[in-house]
Amino acid sequence: MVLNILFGILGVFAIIFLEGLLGAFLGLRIFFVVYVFLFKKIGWRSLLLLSIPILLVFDVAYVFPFGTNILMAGLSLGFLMILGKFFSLDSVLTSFFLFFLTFLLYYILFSVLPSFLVSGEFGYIGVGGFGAMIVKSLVSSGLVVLLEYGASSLRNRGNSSQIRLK
Amino acid sequence: MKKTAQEKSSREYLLVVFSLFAGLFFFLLDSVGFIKWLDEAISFVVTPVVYEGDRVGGVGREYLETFVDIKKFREEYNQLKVVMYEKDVENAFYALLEEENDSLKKQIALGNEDQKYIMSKVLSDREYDFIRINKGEKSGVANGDVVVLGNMFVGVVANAGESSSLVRLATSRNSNFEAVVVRGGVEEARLSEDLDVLSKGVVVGSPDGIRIENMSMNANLQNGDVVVLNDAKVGEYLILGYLVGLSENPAATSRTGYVSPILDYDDLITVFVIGNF
Repeated sequence: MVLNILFGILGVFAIIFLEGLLGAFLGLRIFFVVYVFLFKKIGWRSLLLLSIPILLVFDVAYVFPFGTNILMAGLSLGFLMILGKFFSLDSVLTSFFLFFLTFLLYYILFSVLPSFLVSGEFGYIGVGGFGAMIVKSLVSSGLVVLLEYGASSLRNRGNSSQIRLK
Repeated sequence: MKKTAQEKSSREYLLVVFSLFAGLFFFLLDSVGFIKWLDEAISFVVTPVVYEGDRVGGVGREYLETFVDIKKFREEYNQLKVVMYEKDVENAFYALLEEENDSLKKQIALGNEDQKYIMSKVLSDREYDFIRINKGEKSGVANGDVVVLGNMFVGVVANAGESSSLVRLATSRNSNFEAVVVRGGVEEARLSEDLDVLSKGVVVGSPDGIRIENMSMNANLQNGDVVVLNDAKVGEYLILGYLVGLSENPAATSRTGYVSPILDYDDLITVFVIGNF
């Protein structure tokens, strides 16, 4: 139990460090990639309890008003759930497309929502900025698909080691 | 009773609902300043981690941007090279101008005021015992004209072309002049009344340098004395160089030595031809 708590704390610090590193390096928000990946993998309560403290930490790190990151993540995930009602998330191609739209919305919100919450005016997105958002969304979607693929192959490997009795 | 997958899926919307609720809740608390202490506490703990991650990422981004912008950097590099070449050309032009200015000053200070000179540039590096200058018959240069710099002897025009001439230096085997050895400074050596003549001699070009022969055994000669040309072909006293390698044979009838030229023929750029107008 104590070990789990220690690993949890270290994991939180690791994800904060990675978020800062990849944010400065490529402009990617790695935690939201993990957040989307974990959606439907773990229970919604666990995901909520895990994400709220980390997203509050990011609010402090980015000097956003408290709750900004939680709102952005919640809105984007809600958008994914609505899209999921109309399209299947089981196919790789459609899921990639849906993830792409979700990440695009997240990056758009990331540019406009904080300034709206601070000053009441939406942030400006230029053509170059929008192009960068598309590229980042494509990379993020690719990462989620890769993580999905990696997780499914791990599951299959786990099953192959089990002995089945007919 | 176990929950079915459909039931689980139907409750996933609660994640969104609670997230939005939590987000708005924290935003409202922050707006009224209730959780300022939380901001400070989180900031104290995680700021170093975020800062370090940001710093490392920033360094990586700089390298990435350099790699992405490599075409731009190459273009800038090429532009800078062109600018540098232009500066080099400008510098070379100013260096030549400065050299010409120095030569003119020398000519005015040391040259013969009664003479008229044709200023010319050395066109090529020294070829054996000759140099080529950029003035020829069109400018009034003729075979046998003497080339000087100030009161220092450079050579004699051996072949005057239309717009360039070949000048034979004193090191050539075909060069021979009467000379006197004097003691004193280079500035004083031009005027005959100032000359303290120690001995006469004959200057001859040779493969191992400029030789001076037939100097008096009785003269009090020393290495470092000044050798001045005193020949009808030259027409006036012109300094050739310094006496070196003086012979010390008591059985000989005359003394010999070598002349170290006062000018470095390899570095000549501006010279003056004594005009015969």
